[in-house]
Amino acid sequence: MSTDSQTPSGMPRAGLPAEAPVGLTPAQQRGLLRLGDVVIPGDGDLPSFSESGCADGIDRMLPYMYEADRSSLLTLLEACARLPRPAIRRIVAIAAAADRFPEPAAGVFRLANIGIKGVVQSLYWSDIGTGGVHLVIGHDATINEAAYEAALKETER
Amino acid sequence: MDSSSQLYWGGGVELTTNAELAILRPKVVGGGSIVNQALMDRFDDVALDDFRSASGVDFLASDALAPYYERAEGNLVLQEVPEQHRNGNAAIFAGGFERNGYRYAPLRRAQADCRFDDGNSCIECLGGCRVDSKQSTAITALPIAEQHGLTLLDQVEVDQIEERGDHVVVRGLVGPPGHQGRRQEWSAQRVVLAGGAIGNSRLLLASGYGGRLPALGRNFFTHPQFMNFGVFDEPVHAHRGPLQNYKSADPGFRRQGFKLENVFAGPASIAMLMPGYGRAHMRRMRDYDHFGCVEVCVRDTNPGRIRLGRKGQLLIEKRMDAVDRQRRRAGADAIRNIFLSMGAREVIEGDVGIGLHLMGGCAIGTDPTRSVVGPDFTLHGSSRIHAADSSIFPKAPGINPALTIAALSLKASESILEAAR
Ligand SMILES: Cc1cc2nc3c(=O)[nH]c(=O)nc-3n(C[C@H](O)[C@H](O)[C@H](O)COP(=O)(O)OP(=O)(O)OC[C@H]3O[C@@H](n4cnc5c(N)ncnc54)[C@H](O)[C@@H]3O)c2cc1C
Repeated sequence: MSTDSQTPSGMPRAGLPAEAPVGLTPAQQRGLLRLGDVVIPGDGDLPSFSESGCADGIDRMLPYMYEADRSSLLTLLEACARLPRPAIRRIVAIAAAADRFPEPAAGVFRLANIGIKGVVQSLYWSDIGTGGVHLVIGHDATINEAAYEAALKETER
Repeated sequence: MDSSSQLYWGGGVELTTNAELAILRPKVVGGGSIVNQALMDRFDDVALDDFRSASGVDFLASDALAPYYERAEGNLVLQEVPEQHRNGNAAIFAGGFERNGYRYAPLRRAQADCRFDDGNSCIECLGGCRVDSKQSTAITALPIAEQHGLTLLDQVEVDQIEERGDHVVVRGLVGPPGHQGRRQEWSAQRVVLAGGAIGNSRLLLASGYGGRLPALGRNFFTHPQFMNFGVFDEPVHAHRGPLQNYKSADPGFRRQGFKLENVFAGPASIAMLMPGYGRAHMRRMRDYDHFGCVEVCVRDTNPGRIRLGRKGQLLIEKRMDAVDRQRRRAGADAIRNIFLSMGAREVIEGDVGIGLHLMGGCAIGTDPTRSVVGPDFTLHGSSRIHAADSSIFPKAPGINPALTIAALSLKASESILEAAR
């Protein structure tokens, strides 16, 4: 982060993302797919995380994260690119069972759990390029903007 | 996903230091009024008596606030969420309350015309209302303020404020997302802080006010909320139509320190809340359309604290103590009774607590050692910096805060105009 985006007190800029495009390296991408497939392995007509194609959406998420959160995530993804699958499964399992541990360890695992879910589950269940997972689970919420626009035009007349 | 990333600080959520609560803090012109559910309740005597005794401020009373509530209500179109459009989730809520002898009431929402006959689902409006029904400040206050000469600067993050004799200087970064900000400075005769509980506290702490205002950042409350799910054999379609219809109105619940509302969220949020991972989690998500959902909202007693870390980073310290956990438990037990009495085959308690009624940090009060803002809505020791938003709450009311924030802002505007004369 350049000095220009630091506050006088050195407080990191909270709200706006950095100028340079933020994306994943090939290793980080591999780590995301491996982590994603542990969390979302697929089930019948619901594809796995990697099959769904949702991982590309990370580019729409990363720029808005705080720098510290983003760099922790990228470190985790790099680790997931190298670790054997059972080790990734172990990380995910411990994070998901955070409350069974004493504090402060529980807090660290809760943080990991929310971080992993916040990325993997959000990407997948937002149904961006996932080939219709909303359809499979019956989510069909809509807003009929066309009808509203037409009604507005009608009143303007 | 895009609305969560782009409309909330931290790209979706900020976590408390022990990751017990996910804080949802809006980052959009219009603040929470754009993304919230627009439920509008007046505070009862329980809440206001507590506010008064914590602050020593006399006007925090039903009678004294009544004219401001009336004006705030007059600035909005308010409707009870229509019965005829209620969805399966609302029917489960109402039926479960009746079967258990609990009292409930319809919710009152700031909405003009949600056009339910067009098939609209208000769950979509959590990313902003696309049919201009929700009475956000973008629809109500801001256009009027602009007619009166307001210049709105968006994409500005303020990070310093300094009072200098006869004026106040504010500094910040200006620029659209994806670009490094440009530093800019503004000066004004007066400044009214409206950055919310965390925004105001953070700004003042970063500007060095912590030393002279010992209560700054303290007394922070969030009404921790937990969504619990009942799984039903028949589809519930909780995502269709109005998102919420009813709230608990049970004096027993109020005494026990919690309230219940029927609510729901989109698949990405529900997936966050569902415990577990892997195939078991996916099978649960398959039941999405069969979920009934009720949230317990805790009237939290254990205050949190907003502070800055050594590198200036925001730290939100907020723990649920034994009392707060007991309140959550009592609410969750009532929800279990509701779901089971309505034939749920399983009850699932949400995994993650949410804080979205962010209150305090700059509490109003007469004692400068225990509060930050005086009864004239001016920072103690200042004559030109005022605050008029959720940051001035001295306690957690246990009731939806937005209408009272609006009413107190109207009261504040009188005080501030008087001081400016
Ligand atoms: C999903 C959701 C649903 C909710 N539903 C309800 C409901 O139904 N009823 C109810 O009563 N309440 C509800 N709330 C809570 C309610 O919206 C808030 O209590 C209310 O908006 C707080 O108002 P405020 O003006 O204090 O702060 P906010 O509305 O949060 O506004 C603060 C603004 O200041 C900006 N800001 C902060 N710091 C800075 C800075 N340094 N520089 C520039 N700008 C800054 C923020 O980006 C934001 O736009 C809900 C909240 C959420 C998130």
